[in-house]
Amino acid sequence: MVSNNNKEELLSQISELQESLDNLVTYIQDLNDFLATPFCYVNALWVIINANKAFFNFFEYSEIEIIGKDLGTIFLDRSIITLIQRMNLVEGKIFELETKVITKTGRIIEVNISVKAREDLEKNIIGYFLTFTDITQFKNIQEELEKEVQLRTKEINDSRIALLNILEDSETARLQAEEERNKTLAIINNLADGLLMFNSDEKLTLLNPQAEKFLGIQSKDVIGKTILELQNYPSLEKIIQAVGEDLKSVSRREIQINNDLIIEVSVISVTFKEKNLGNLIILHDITREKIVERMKTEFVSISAHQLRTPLSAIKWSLKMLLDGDLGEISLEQKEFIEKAYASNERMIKLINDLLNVTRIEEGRYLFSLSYENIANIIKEQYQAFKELAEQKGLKMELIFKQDKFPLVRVDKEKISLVIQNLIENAVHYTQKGKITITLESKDREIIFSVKDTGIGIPKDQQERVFSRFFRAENAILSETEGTGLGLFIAKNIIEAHGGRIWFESEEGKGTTFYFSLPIKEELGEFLRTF
Amino acid sequence: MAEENKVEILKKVRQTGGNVKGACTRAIFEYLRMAAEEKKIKEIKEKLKFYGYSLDPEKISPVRMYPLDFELAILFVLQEVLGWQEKEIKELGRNVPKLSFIVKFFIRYLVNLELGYKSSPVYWRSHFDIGQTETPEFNLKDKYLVLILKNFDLHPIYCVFLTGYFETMAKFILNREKVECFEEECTFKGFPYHKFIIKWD
Repeated sequence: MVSNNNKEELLSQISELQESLDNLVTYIQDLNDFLATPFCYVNALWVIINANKAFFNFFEYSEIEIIGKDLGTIFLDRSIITLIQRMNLVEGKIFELETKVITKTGRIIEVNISVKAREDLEKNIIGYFLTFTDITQFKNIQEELEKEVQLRTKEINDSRIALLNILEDSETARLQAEEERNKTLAIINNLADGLLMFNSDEKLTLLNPQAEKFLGIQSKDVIGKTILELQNYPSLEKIIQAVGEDLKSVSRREIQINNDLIIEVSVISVTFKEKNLGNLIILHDITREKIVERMKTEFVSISAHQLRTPLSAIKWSLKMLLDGDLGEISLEQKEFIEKAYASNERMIKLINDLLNVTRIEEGRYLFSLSYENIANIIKEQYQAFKELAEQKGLKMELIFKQDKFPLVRVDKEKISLVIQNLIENAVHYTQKGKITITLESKDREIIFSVKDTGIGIPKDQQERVFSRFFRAENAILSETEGTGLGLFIAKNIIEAHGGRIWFESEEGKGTTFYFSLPIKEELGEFLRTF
Repeated sequence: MAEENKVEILKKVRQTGGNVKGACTRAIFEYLRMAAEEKKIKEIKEKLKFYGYSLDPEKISPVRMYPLDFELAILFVLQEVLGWQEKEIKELGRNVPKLSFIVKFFIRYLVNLELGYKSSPVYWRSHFDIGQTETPEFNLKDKYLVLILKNFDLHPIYCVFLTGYFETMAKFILNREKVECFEEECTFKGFPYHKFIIKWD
């Protein structure tokens, strides 16, 4: 029997317990409503028994629609349940897996599921708690990242392939460049000319085998040395003297290295894309040409000398005949003898010109220098040709632009020859008009000119006017006489005096030849001789 | 059925002294929140007051016991206010277990049909303090079971409510879509007890 007091106490305890239970139920319901993570509880038969508000919202089902349904309802692939079953879900252990779920409206969401088994006292599994985390955004980011990684990997791969191609191309280009370099080196090494290449720092960077042979030096001894250092080598010293330490552009300057070798030195500046790479010295062996030239000159000289004696004999014999020293001759005979005499004269002139040329070439064209009044020499030559010009109906004029001219140091005979040649040419190649001879003193120079109104020199032939044996085509047609040596000799004479010779000409209108001679003070020059 | 008769019936049920856990009543009103408009819910509550029930059904404790006639009165009012027939009342019965805190709590431990079936007397006692259930036949082969309910004579509409209720309970422990429950014998039809048959596919 329970006493009244005990009964009241028991009822009071039950009431307290019920109150606690109420609070607990409220607490659980509030918790369910509050939890943002969707979760559900399924029994051992995979029937959804309970879930929170977040679950209903997530799967878009109302409570009465989803409670009591098979868990497979929310999975895109029901086999995931089999997978959960196979897990060794002992009490307390939480498994996680990723899968896809489907909502009431058919939305497919990638989720991470956490599964926890619930056991009874006998350790039998009586159900499972499942929570769902939406990983769509994470997956999207992951997919984007994977795509990005794939894209970057592809780019890197493409770049690697491109790089390999570039390397392959570069290697091919390198091999081609090397081959080209080898070819160039082979050409340089086999070239008959000697080559010395100086870089922009004026250090020797290349000396080909022919240059080694010419100069008697070894590449290994001189490469990398400066011009100043190279002056210690006797053979190189001559070269450097000829071209100068600053390696100025030089064209075909002759140097006698030794008795058996004469070379022609040229210096050219080497540039690439407007960048100065240095200077190249080219050594061309002209020894053989010089020997042949000397032999030819000697032959001409000997021949001319040998010819001059009989020609002089012929001249005097014909002169005697013409003068009647050997008896009276008929007019017809006289005419023939005069022609023979004139031809002989031309022959003598040619021989004299040839001798002059050979002397020039042999360097034996010695000058007998003295201070002369050049105006007087000109007057003499003017007078000599005045008559001939008048016979041809040409007007001839002599103009001295100053009353008095300073004396110039010349070889009178040779300068006379130059003036004679120039006036003679003017008379010969002018058929009508005027010949004007002018002398003036200007800027420490004496300038002489002969201006004619003759046939002129064709423009395309003007470059060769001072060459040996040159005669312009129109000159040959209009005047058969002429050796083609006069202007060559004149040029050599004027330049030997330190002067210049030049001309202006227009075909059919006339030509003006000029030469200048430097004016040197007598006293100054005198002092310099000491 | 006239209001006077209903009042009489409710009075008679109250006199039996039977009680039921508040969870069921709470679940009914949770369902109404989904199925009816607010003004209808207000009307229902007013009608309940008319029958003498001033308790707010949405504020009662799911774990405490309340007079059984209160729950029967709710069914009467739903018929009056919402015009519900047996079909709607059975549907209500189907949904109440899904919303009931006590059901969700209890059902966790029923891991298979046979255990659930055999546990039904315990389950009944945890909800009602009158009436008893018996489990005379469990036929797995032919997929049906028989549930006997004795000493529980409320009203035929409550029997309809229970058929829906038992269907869902069976679904919980069967995991079958097609489950059907009907009352084969009823005390209001002259039988000594209520006999419910539950079949599944």
